[in-house]
Order: sequence, then structure tokens, then C-alpha cells
Amino acid sequence: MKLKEMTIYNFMPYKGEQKVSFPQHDTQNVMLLFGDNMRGKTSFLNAMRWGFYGLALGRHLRAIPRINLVNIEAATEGDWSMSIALKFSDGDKGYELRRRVEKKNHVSQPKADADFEESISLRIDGEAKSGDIIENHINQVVPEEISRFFLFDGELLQEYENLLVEGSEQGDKIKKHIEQALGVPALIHGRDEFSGLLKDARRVQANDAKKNIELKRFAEQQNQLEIKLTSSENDLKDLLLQCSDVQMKVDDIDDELKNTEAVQRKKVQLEGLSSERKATESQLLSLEDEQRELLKSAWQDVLYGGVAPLLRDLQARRDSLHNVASEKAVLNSKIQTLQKSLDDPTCPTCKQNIPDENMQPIKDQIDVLKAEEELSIVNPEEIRTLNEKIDKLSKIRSSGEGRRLLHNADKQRKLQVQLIRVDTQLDELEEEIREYDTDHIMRQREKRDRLVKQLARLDGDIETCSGKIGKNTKEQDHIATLISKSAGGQGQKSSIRVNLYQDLESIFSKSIDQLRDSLREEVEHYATAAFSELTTEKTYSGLQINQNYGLSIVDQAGRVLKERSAGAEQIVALSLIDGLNRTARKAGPVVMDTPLGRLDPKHRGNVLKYLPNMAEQVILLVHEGEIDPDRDIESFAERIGVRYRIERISATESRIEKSN
Amino acid sequence: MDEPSRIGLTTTTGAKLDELLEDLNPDQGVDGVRLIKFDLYRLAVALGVKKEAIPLPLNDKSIPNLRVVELDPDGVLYTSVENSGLVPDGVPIYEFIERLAEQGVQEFYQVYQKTGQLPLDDYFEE
Repeated sequence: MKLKEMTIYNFMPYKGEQKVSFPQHDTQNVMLLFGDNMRGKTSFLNAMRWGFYGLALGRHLRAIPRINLVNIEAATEGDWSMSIALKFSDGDKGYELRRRVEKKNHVSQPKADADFEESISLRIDGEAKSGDIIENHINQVVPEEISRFFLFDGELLQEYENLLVEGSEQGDKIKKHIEQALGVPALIHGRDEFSGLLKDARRVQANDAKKNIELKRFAEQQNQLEIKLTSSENDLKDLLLQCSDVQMKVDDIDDELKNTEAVQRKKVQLEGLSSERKATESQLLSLEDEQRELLKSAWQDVLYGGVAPLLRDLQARRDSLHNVASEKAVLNSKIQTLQKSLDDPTCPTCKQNIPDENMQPIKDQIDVLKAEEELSIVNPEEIRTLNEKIDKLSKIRSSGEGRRLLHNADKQRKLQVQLIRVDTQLDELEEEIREYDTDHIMRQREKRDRLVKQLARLDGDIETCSGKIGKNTKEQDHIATLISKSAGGQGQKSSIRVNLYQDLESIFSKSIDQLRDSLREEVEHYATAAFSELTTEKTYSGLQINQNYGLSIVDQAGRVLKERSAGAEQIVALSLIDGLNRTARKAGPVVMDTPLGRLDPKHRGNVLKYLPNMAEQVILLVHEGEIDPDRDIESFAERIGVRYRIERISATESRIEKSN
Repeated sequence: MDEPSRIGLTTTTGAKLDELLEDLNPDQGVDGVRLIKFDLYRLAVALGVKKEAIPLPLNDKSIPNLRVVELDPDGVLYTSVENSGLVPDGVPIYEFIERLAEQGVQEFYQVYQKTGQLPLDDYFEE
């Protein structure tokens, strides 16, 4: 299949009619459509998907309602119609497919899908095809099952990592898509149809057995098992429905939470800052208490500074008075001794009388000493007063209150600065999340946790129920075989039919396994070939596929690499897409939206060199961060057939322009 | 010289002291250390002595609501002021203490009104 032209009318941001021609040259087979984020690259991919299949996909691969597909500007102006016309060829046949929706006449303001009317037309080589077979024609050329791999959203590349996780729900979903693309459903449907036929045949066999006395017991057992099986199957259906319902709710919450991730982070930050504020305030309160406590006795510290020298003077004065008093006592004692000599002039040693001529110097000395003694005046009252003052002033104690108050004030200042900083940050954060109901976000997180637990319970129930069905079926098979082999049942038409369907179901089951194995081998082969072209690490020997089509990198020693970078994941995912594309069909275009997002320049270079060989036509929807129009294009410039650019007209309107 | 047994502040300065205490203390009902009149009164006197202030007599009658034995139970303030060499002749020591307190509290109030805090750096800088 080769795309020729797409005409878009009022689809998403593309207001009015906009036409894009795809490259037709064999080697200049790459089309580049540049567009910044939010300008309409994914809408372009969706336009093509909707044109082919009447389906545009949003997040979680959910269908976007028609009302959201019609360009808002056009709808505001009253034009509620939109259409996509695709021209393409397959072999030597030319196709013109046109899908259109418009508001139903009686609806004034559409609110739901049912308020629109969809029409589709297809011309093959100019000949109009009737509506009921258009879908068949499309599916012959571009089966919807493989659309995931040729209409490819690069932003979903990381989902492919889930294929490596056993039991991952998303991995299971992707695996189903892969098997659909690879044609496994044909066999699965075959097996399921034979299962249905077998079930009917068993019922008929049981009815026949009822008529036979020997087999009546088996017939009864078979009936009971049939009732149990129907009941278990209904339970399983119900559980699967519940599971999908709960999963949808989880997805919705995830979307909501993803949009508010920044808010949640800020909320956590806000809570941290609030705690910091509380702690700072509490520290400040303690410091204020300490400050008041110090102020109570600070007056003593102030006085202490002035009193200390005074106290020293007073103590010196007192000491000096004490000295004078001591000296006076000494003088008195000397005077008394000398006076004694005068009163009794006998030498205390030799007991002889002291001569008169020697008495005069003693008298003179006494006079000198008395004069000295008279000069040493000691006022005991003064000493008492001094003692009292010294006692009182000594009571003034300093515990360094002043120094501690200054230290305290310094700490308070620092904490106040900290408080202002925290308050400013709090104000800013509160302003940033003011519009969000953060409590609601927290409630949603809790709700999500509950739903995930519910999912796990449901998964367990589904497993139990599937086990019951398997066991039941085995028992039914056993009884059917017993009936078939019994004398009464042997050769009966119903028994022959049961045996036949049992064999056919078993053949289909084994075929599914065989086909899966061979497809996996083929995907692994192609993916490894692509990977060796794309990777910059030459020590890798290839890729290894698992039961879920998950790919692991293998080194030259045959060891599986446990950890890989985001870039490596993207290369592996691209290799898988290429492997699947080549396994699923032999020719056709590939449309890739943002495929190079997480790659370094070297890998990007390798991918850009490889992409033109990936399909007959390669349509890349990229932003300039992925491919630099001046630098990156050089390596594959000769392969570019045509370039377009999405120009922004307004927030709700974009235009596709051809660029040089 | 007769010393008064009670001293205080003028009505205006007394009101200022009350206001100051209200600002410096935690709100009513909140736990924490609380300052009382005596605390700031003594601090005002001590700071007056430190800066060797010689305040003028009060321009109004004081309300003598502080008992000297409670304000200065050990006579420490008395002795400090007495030996400061600041007291003019003939002025009873506690009257001079009252003048120092009056002037000191007024200064506390003024600076607090202006800056929202007491200039501890000035008071306690060594």
C-alpha cells in the first residue's frame, strides 16, 4: 500500500481544508512533518487513523469522542462537520476513501457521538463500492489490527518495556495487539469456534446418553458440569467486566494525577515548609522565654560591671583600715613594754638597775611611738559601714546575662530571617497551587490505592474462575470420552461429532502455540537485524524474545542485560516495531509520531539513517528538538521526498504548510 | 536622711510600663516566662547607673505602688546608687532611684515604639 494524499477538513486543530501529498519516489520516500508540541502532530496521526478506521485514540488508547474531534473554531462558527479523504494505491489499484461526520439536522448543539451522523465512501479505480463492504476492502489493504505498528505513536514506546514484565496488565494488552497484528487471532477464533461447537456436541451427546439406561448416570453428570460451566463462564465474564471497569477508573485517576504531579510535589514541599515554620516558631518562642528569663536578672549584670571596681576600692579601703588598726596595736604593745621599763628600771635579763642616763632615750622613744600611735586613727564605725557595703555589693552576681542576651538576640534574628524565607516560599507555593484542590488530589491517590488492591483481588478471582473452567472442561471431556467409548455411545453420531471437535480444538490449540513460536522467531530475527543497525554499542550480539514478545538485549557471551537506559529502551522498542511490521506484512507506509524523543545524537543519527529503509514510505512527525533541520537531516537528506511544517494560527488552530 | 518606703512612677510612665509589659510578655493564656514591673524597673535603674545618668526630679507626682523592701530586699540597688557618686546632695537614694527608673522606662518605651524591640546591643555591649 502506498499513500498518495490526505485531505483534512475541520479535524482537531486543522480548521478548514488542508491537503498533504505523500512522497511517491522509491528512494526519496521520507516525509517530514515538523511541529512543536501541542501543535497537532498526534492529531495528524489520528486524522489518518480516523480516515481509515473511524477511530482516533487518546491516552490509554481510548477513543476520542466525535465532539472533541471537530475543530473548536469551526464549531463555534456553526460548522460541525469534519472529514478526512485519503488517496492511496495497492498493487495497481487506486483507492479514494472519504469519511465524514456532521451534526444531525435536529440537533442544535451536539453533546454525544450519537448527535453526529457518519458517512463513508470508497472508490476503487473510480468505481464506488457499496457501504457494507467498504470495511472489508480497507481491512484487506490496511488491516486495523496492524494499525498500531504502522500508525505509530512514539510516545508510547516506553509501554513496550511492559512486555518484559510477566503478568503486567499493560504488557498483556500489547501482547494481544501484537498477536492480532501477526494473525494469531485467526487460529484463536478457530479454536474458540470449535470449543463452542464441542460444547453443543457434548450437550447433544448427553441428551442421547439420557435415553440409554447405562449411560444415564454420565448424562446426568454431564448436565451438571454443563450448568457449572455456564455459571463459571458467566462469573468470568462478570469478573473481566469488573476488572476492565476498575482499570478504567485507575487510568482516569492516573491521568488526573499525572496532570497534577507538579501540584502534588508542591503540596509535599508545602507541608515540609509548614513543619519547618512550626519548628522555627517554636524555637523562637523558646528563645523569647529565655530572653525574658535573662531580662529578669540582667539588671544585676549591668550593675556588676560598675560595682566590681567600687567593690575593689571598698575592699582596699577596708584592708588599709585593718592594717592601720594592726599597726596601732603593735605601737601600743611597744609603748606598754617601754613604759614598763620606765616604771621598773631593772634589766629583765641581768636584774641590775638601768642607769638614769639610759632612761632618757626610752622616754624619747615612747614619745615618738605615742606620736605615731596618735596619728593612726581607726574609726571602727567606718569599718563596720565598709563591711556592710561590701556585703551588700557582693550580693550582686553576674551570670553573664548581657552576653547571653546578645547571643539570644542574634539567634532570634537568624530565625526571623529564616521565618521570612519560609513564609515567602509558602506564599509562593500557596499561590501556585491555589487553583487546585489538593485535598481532592490526596483523596484520589487514596482511591487509586484502593482500586489497585481491588484489581489484585479481581485478578486472583479471575485466575480461580479460569482454573475452575479448565477443570470443569477436563471433566466434561473425560465423561464425553467415557460415553463415546461405551457400548451405548460408540458409533453414535453425537459421539463421533464430539470426538471430531475435540480433535479439531486440540489441533488448533497446538497450531496456535506453533504459530506463536515461529512468529516470535521471525520477529526476533528482524528486530535483531534492525537493532544491530540502530545501536551504537557493538558488543551487543542481538535481541532475545520472550513469550510476551518482550525483547532483551543479549551480549556476546549470550548474557541478558539486566539494566538498560531510556535511550536503549527506545532503540529496542523501535527494533520491535520494525520486526513486527516486517513480520505482519511485507510492504506499506510507516507513520511515526515523535519517535526520537529519548535518544542521544549518535543513536538519533543511526535511527535516521535506518528509518528510510524501514518501509516503502516513511512519514515522520517530529519536533525540532528531535531532528535539527540544519544538522541532523544531512545524514539522510537524499531520502527526503517532501517536508511540511505545522504553523500555529491560534491555540485552537494550526495549518500545515509545505516547507523547503 | 529620710528614705521613702514606697516609690513608683508617674501615672504616664506607669501606663507606658504596663503597655511595654503587655508587648514583651506572651499573650494572655499562653504559657511562658512573664516579666513583671519590678524586672524592668530594676533594669532601668541599673542602666541609668551604668551610663551615669543624673535625671531631673519627676515632673509629676509619682504613684508609689512599689514597696522598697520588695523592690530591693537586699539593699543592693540602694548601695550601688549610693556609691555611684551620682546622687546630688540632699536627695534621698530611693528618690534618686525613682528618677532613674522614670527616665529609663520612658526611654525603653520610646525606643520600643520606634523599633519594636529593646536595643539589647546598646545595653549590653561590652
